[in-house]
Amino acid sequence: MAEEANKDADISSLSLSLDPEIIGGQNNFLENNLQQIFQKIIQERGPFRDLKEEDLQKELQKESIKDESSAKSSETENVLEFATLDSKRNVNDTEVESMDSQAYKKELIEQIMIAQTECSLALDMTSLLLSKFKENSIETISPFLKSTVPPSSLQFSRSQPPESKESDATLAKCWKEKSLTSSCKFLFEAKERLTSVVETEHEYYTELVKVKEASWPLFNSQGSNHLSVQYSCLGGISLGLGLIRMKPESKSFEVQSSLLYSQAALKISILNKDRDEIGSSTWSWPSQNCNSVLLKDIYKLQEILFEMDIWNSLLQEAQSCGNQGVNFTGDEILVPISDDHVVRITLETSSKNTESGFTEDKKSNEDTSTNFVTIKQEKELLKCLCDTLNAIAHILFLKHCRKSDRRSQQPELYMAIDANAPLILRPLIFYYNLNQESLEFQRWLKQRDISFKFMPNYPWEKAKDFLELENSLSINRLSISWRIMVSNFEPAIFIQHTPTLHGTDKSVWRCKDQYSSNQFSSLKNVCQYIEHHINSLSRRSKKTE
Amino acid sequence: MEDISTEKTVESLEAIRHRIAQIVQSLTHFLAILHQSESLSPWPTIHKNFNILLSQIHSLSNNLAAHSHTLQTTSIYPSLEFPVKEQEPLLTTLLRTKALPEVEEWEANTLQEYEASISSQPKKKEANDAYQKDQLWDQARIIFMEERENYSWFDFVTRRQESEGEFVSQRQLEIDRATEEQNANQMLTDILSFMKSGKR
Repeated sequence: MAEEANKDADISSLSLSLDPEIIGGQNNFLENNLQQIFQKIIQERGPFRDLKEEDLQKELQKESIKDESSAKSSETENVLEFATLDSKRNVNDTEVESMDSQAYKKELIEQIMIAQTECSLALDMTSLLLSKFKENSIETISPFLKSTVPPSSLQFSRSQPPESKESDATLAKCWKEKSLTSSCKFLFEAKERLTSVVETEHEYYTELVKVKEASWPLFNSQGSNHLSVQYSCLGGISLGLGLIRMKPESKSFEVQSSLLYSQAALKISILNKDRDEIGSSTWSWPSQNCNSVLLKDIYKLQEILFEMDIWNSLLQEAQSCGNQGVNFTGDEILVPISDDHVVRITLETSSKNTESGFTEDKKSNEDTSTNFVTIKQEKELLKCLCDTLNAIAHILFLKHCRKSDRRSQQPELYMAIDANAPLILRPLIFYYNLNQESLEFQRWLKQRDISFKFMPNYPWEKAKDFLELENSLSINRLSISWRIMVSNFEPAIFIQHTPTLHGTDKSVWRCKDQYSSNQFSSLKNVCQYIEHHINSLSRRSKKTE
Repeated sequence: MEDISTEKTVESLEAIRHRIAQIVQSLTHFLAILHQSESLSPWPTIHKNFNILLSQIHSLSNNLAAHSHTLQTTSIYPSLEFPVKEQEPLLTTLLRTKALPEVEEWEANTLQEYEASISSQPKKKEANDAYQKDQLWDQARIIFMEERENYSWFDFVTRRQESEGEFVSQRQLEIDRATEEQNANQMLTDILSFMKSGKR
């Protein structure tokens, strides 16, 4: 009974027949798969030393209850076992294409299980061999082996050593060399990777230091791991926030911003009565000499912001210049300068900078070379005029940006006008009207054959530097002198014209001669006075005769 | 003489058994760690376990190398108590000396690579090989010395002080440092004296 129970326990626990006849019949098959079967058993039940007799007896009791179905279940298990082995063999044969985390873990577990199997067998054999000499070695024998084989059932004796293979030393050397080569390669790749990372970090912080040395404020963006830089145009009307990031394509750094345009430049054009462009000027900033990529981006953004600010200021001012004939839309501002010509101001946002255009009449092509030279000169003059207007607009905007400077120099104006109101269009219109008025007066004097001397005292002509020029362009009151020679025998009339850009005192004409001194508010009155003076002189001369 | 050799064999086997037991325990622990989570364990954990295994395998290899002659002259066979008829497969497994198919495949691949590398490269003289080895060792020594110098601090001044020109001489610096230490010791003595007696 005990032998039968042990036999049944062995069969049920191993799921493998231990009958020598059956083993002999399947010797060829078992020679090839015995190791895999043992590996399977170890995978299912763990190492042999961990098997317990109590667990096996419980399984035996379950099997005895189901005697009729045990044969079928055994057959099914055998089929499943071999199928599992086949599938496992297929899995082993399949090459792992991707070394992702799961695949690496799977391979690692397989290798460890193989090593565990071999070590367990070696431990069992060694422990069983030593059980004859060392009693404590029985502790390391697996429970299965302990229940199957009695202790001290293996022994050893001295014998001649086996012949050593030539490949043993070669294998050891090759494996060491392979391990060293692999380690060297791995370390070299790690070194290259770390060097690249360090270089990138070094470049990054070098760029940041340059930005910091240029006094641009840097700070961490909320909710982002990137640094941000705060920039502004001159005067600080508007502030921009740029995110310092790396371009994935070129591996260089850039400043990203949320500005509406990537390119912006103020463009001033002159249109004729047919609304054809006869001259234009697109503003361009001088190139900055700096070796920092981030600083270049910051300067570019600063320029864009400046142009956008000046455009917004012009639009804001155009709203209050409707009484002077200024029309504006969201895209352009039209300032009439005569019955036939209009100045158009736009914000050029495309990357292509259009050159100054000049529309030639078809008839002018048939003219002689003299007309061609005249047309060319006219074109150059118009280009120069547009450039000048563009420059003055920028200078006036710079003046507007310096609020404190204007407030300190002209406190009465600060009380009279809004400090935030820009002054760009109105000075330009003022200068143009002043020039037109002077031309009209000169034309009137020439028609009456009256000699005169025009002595304008423009403050910008005396400016020695940029600040003086900037201040002179925004002076509220000018002073222009005229000397009118009515007759060769009579003393001249001195006229002083003091136009005012804004304020209570407007254009004032003061006329002074040897008999009286008068003050007029318009050019028309001045002309009437001169005519009256001439008539008085003629009547006096008749009486004398 | 046989008793002495038997004792040596037993001692070597005992040492081997102890080390194999450690390796089995480490492998079991490592396998349990890998099975704990679905994803791969953190690399520090894997790294630590690998280091433990490497050290244990290294110890076992050294032990096997030390007792190689004794083990090679030892033959193992079952005694009369072993149930050979009933446990013949088990006996075959226990006394197996052939490597696993995976290991044989590894060995075959390695030998093929070795033969391929030999056939592809031209034959060199032993003197040339020795010269290359010496050159390699010299290069390794140079690299080691350079790396060691990068992590050694033995000066009394910082690079900044050295660049600013405050460096005078080594002897003067040593004297200054000794003076500072002496002053510090004197100050400490004064402090302790004040704490003890309350007198300055």
